[in-house]
Amino acid sequence: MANKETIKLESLSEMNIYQLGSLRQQLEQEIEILGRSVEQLITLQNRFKQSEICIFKQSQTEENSEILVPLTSSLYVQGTIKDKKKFLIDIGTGYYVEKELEGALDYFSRKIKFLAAEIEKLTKLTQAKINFRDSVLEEFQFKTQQQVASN
Amino acid sequence: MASSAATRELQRDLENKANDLSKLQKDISKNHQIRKKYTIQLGENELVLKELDLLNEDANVYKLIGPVLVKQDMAEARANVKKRIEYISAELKRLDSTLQDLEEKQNSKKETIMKLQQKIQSLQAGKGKA
Repeated sequence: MANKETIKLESLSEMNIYQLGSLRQQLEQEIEILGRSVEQLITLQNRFKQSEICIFKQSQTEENSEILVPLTSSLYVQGTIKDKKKFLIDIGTGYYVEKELEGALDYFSRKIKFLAAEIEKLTKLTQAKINFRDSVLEEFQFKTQQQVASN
Repeated sequence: MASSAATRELQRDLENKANDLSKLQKDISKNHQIRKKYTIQLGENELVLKELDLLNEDANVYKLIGPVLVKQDMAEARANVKKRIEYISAELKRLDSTLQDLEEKQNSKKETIMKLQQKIQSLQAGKGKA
């Protein structure tokens, strides 16, 4: 990827205004998509963080304490905590796994780390694209000015 | 007069080819969509398998079937996910080869269209001179 971009960087001066324009447009689109992906990942990461906090709080409650379980947003039924150390986690594609407190916390911290690594990768890629777009833009403006001057 | 009839003939041909090309392009974009769906599923299944492999043999695994959670055998669950990964990978490979096929077709269509356009242009230029 980086290799391809450096080649492109050198050949920028050989491109005409139209090519530069379309390249810039393409880059803008890619940057937008990447930005949206990062946003989605951050939202997901926050959900995992919330679940982690929930589990931790749950483990701090007294056993046999009463709770109200929401059936709908306005209807609750009474329940009691029977086992505060066992959790059922949705690991995707319809599979659920029973885990102890430590295992559950470990699951979420692993997921959060995994997402953090992905977010960093994408952010770096986005930054590289933005830099490349800026140099394309510069070349574009330079060429436009040249054309105006020659007219 | 003969040349204008020929031109019309060529233009009709060109239209047909252009229609074929747009159909091909539609197929290609459909292929891309399906591939995106499968790639996402593949990623999810791989994550699930990784998670299942981390578990102890005696861990409780459930599968959501409709609104109920059904307890599953660990080995069975793993085999299931593996089978799904295999299936999706095979499907992705199949999509790859169709895509390649479609792209080749698209390129040859583009070429024939270009040739037709050139022919029409040269015919029209000849008419203009005459």
